[in-house]
Amino acid sequence: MMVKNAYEEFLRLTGFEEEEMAEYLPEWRKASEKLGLTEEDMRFAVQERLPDHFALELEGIRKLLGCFVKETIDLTKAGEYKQRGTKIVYGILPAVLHFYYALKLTAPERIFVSFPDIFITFVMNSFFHKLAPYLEEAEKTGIPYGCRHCALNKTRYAIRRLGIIPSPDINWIWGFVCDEGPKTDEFIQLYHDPEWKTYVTRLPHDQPLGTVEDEVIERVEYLAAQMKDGFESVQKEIGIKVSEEKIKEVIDIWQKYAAKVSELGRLMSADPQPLGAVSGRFFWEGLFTPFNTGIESMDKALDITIKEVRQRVSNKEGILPQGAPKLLIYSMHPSVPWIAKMFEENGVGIPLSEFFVLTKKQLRPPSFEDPYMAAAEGWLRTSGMVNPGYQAEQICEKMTTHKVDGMVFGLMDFDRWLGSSHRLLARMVEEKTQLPVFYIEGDNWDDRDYSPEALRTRIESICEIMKMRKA
Amino acid sequence: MFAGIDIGSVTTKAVIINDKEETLAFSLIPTRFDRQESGAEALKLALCSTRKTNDDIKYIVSTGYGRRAFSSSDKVLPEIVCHASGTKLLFPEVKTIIDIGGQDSKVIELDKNGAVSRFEMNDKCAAGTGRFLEVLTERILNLRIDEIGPLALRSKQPCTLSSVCTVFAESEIISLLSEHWAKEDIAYGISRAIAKRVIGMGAGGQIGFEEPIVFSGGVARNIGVAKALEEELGKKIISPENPQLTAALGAAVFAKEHSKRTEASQQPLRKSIENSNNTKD
Repeated sequence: MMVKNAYEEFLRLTGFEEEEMAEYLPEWRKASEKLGLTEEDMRFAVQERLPDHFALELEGIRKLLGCFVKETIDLTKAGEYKQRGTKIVYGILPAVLHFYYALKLTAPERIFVSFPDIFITFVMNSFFHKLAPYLEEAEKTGIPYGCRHCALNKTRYAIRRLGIIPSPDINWIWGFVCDEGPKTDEFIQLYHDPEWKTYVTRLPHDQPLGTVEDEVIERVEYLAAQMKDGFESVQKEIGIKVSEEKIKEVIDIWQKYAAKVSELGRLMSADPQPLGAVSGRFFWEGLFTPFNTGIESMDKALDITIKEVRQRVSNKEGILPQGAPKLLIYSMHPSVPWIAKMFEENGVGIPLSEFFVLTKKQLRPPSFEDPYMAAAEGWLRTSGMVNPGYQAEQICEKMTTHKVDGMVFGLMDFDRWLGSSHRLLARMVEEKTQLPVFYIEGDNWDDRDYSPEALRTRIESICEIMKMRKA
Repeated sequence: MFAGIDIGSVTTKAVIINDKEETLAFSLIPTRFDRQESGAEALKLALCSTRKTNDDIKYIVSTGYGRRAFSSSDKVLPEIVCHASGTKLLFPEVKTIIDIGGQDSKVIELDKNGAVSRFEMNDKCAAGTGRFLEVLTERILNLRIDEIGPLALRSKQPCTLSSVCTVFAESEIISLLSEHWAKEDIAYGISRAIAKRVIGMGAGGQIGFEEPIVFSGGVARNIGVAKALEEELGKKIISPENPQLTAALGAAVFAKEHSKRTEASQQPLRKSIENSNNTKD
C-alpha cells in the first residue's frame, strides 16, 4: 500500500474524523517529533503494525486507539501546561486511579494527571515497536538490562531525562506490589531531577496465603488510612482540596465503565471468538490508568465496539473456527502483540487477560459509604496484586465464567513479585481446575529478549496440545 | 508411505514409515544453511534405500527449528508433540521424555493416554544443550564429541562447575585445567552440569520425572550425560537405538494420521515435491 501522508493516514486508522485533521495533524507531527518517531515509523504503523494486529475494520477499535493517541499528544504538552501554572500530578501502576480522576474532576483546567510511562509504553511499542530507545536510555544511565527491571520504570526515567515530560508537582507512587517503582523515583530525584517530588503509599504483603483480604476489616481500614494520608499529602502539595463526594462520583463512574468492559469480555468469550485479543485489550486499561483527556472518549469507543462485536456474535462471525480451544492468559499486553497473534494463527484463542477480567465480587458496589474504605476494599478485591492463594480462587471463577479450556501464566519476568509467584499460582490453579496450565517465560512490555522465533516452538506446542485435547 | 522430516539446528533427519507404522528407512545429515535443501536431501537419502520415489509418499509432516522453511511438507508441527508421538511408538509405556538436542533441551511429561500433559524447554539460553557440550569439549578439552562420554565414565573425582552458562563455564574449565584437574573429571563435571540444568528445568515446571524415562536427542548418545541423569534423578534412563530420530518418527506418525483424515475429507492429498522443492522460505 502506498501511503502519501503517513501521519494523516495514521490518524485516520486510529479513528480521527476528517474534520479533526486540521487540529490534530500538526499536533501529532509535533508530538511524534518529540517522541522520536519518524515518517518511516508512521509508515510501519500504517502498513504493518496496525493492520497486522488490530481489528481496524471496527469503528470502535479505531476510536479506542485514537483515545491513546490523543492522550499521548496531551502528555507531550505537559511541559506547556506546567509553564501556564497547571499542577502536574503523576502516578504509577498499581495505583488506585479514583483519586487522580477526583483531582481532575475538581479542577479540570488547573490539574494535569497521568501515569506517563503507561501511555508512552503502550503507544511506542504497540503501534510502532519502538520502545527500545527509551529502555536503552535508562539502561545506559543506571538501570541495568534484564534483572527483572520493569520497562515502565525505565520508560518513566527515560522520558524525564529526554525532556518529554516535565517534573511533577507531586508524583504519588504506590509500593503495593513492586519495590522497584518507588526506588526508581528516588533514583530520578537523586541523580537527574531534584524537583522530582514523590509521595509513597505502601502496603506490606503480610497476610497468610489464601486470606480474602477485602473481607478483613483491619486490612481494609489500614489501606484506607494509607490512601487517605497519601491523598491529603497530594492535595496539600498542589493546594487544591477535593471533596469526598468527588471520590464517590468517580467510584460510580468506574463501576459503570467496569460493567461495560465486563460485557465486552463476555462477548469476547463467545464461540467463535469474535475479536482478536490485542484489539480489545486497550479498553481494560481504562480501569487502571487515568486519562487526563477524560474517560468519556473511551466510554464512547467502548459503546461502539460492544455494538459491533455483539453483531459479530449474533452473526456467528469469528476470528477462529467455532469450537476452537481457548485459553485464559494471565496478561496479554499489546506491546508484544505477536504473542496473541501466534496463538490465534495456530488455532487457539486467548480472548481475555485474567489480570484485567473482573470477578462478580469486583463488579459489586462497595460495601462502605466512606470513599477511602470503598476504594481500599475495591483494590483488595483485585487479589492479583496481593495474595496468590486468593487470586487462585478468583482465577478459577474467571475460567468457569468464560468457559476456557486452560490457562497460560508467565510473561511477567520483568516483575520480581508477580513473576516469582506465577509458578506457585499455576500449580494451585491446575490442582483446583484439573485443566491444563502452561507457562511462558517472557516480558509482556519488552520483547528484546524474546523473539517470535524463540517462543514459536513453545506457543505452537501449547496450541497443538490444546487442539489434540479438544479433539 | 508417510514421511517425517525433523530439521534441527545441527542435524536433519527423515523417517519413512508404512501403514503399519513400521520404519522403512531413515536418514540423518548435517543441517545446511538452506533448510529447505537440508529437508529435501534427507528425504532423498531415505527414499534411496526404499527404491521408491517422491510420488509414493502420501503425506509429509515437518518439525524441528527449520520446519517452516521446508515447503514440501503438507503439515508443520512443533517438535514437542512429535517427540511424544515418536517415543510412544518405540516405548508405549513412556511417561517422561528428556530430549537434548543441538540448541535446545526439553522435558516432556505424558499422561496415561500418552498425550503431552506438561513440557518445559529452554527458550533463550544454550546452557545444558548439545551446543554447550560441543563448545566445552571441542574448544576447551580438545576432544572429539564422541570421546567425551567414555572418558567421563572413567572419572573418580568429578569436578563441580558453578556455572551452566556456556561462556562462563568455558572460563571455569580453563581454570580447572590450570589447576591440573584430570580431563575425565572435567568431562563428568560437564555431564553433571547438563543433567542438573535439565532436571531443574523440568522440576520447575512441576514435572515429576515418572518412569519409564526415555532420553533422546543427539546428546543421548553421550553415555556420560546419561549416567549423570540417572545419578541425579536416582532413576533408570532408557534410550532408543537411534535417539536422534524420535521427532522425525513422530512426524511420520502424524503424517499417517493426517493423511487418513485428509483422505476421509476427500481433499487433494499433497502437492508434488518436485514443484515445491523450488520454493524457498
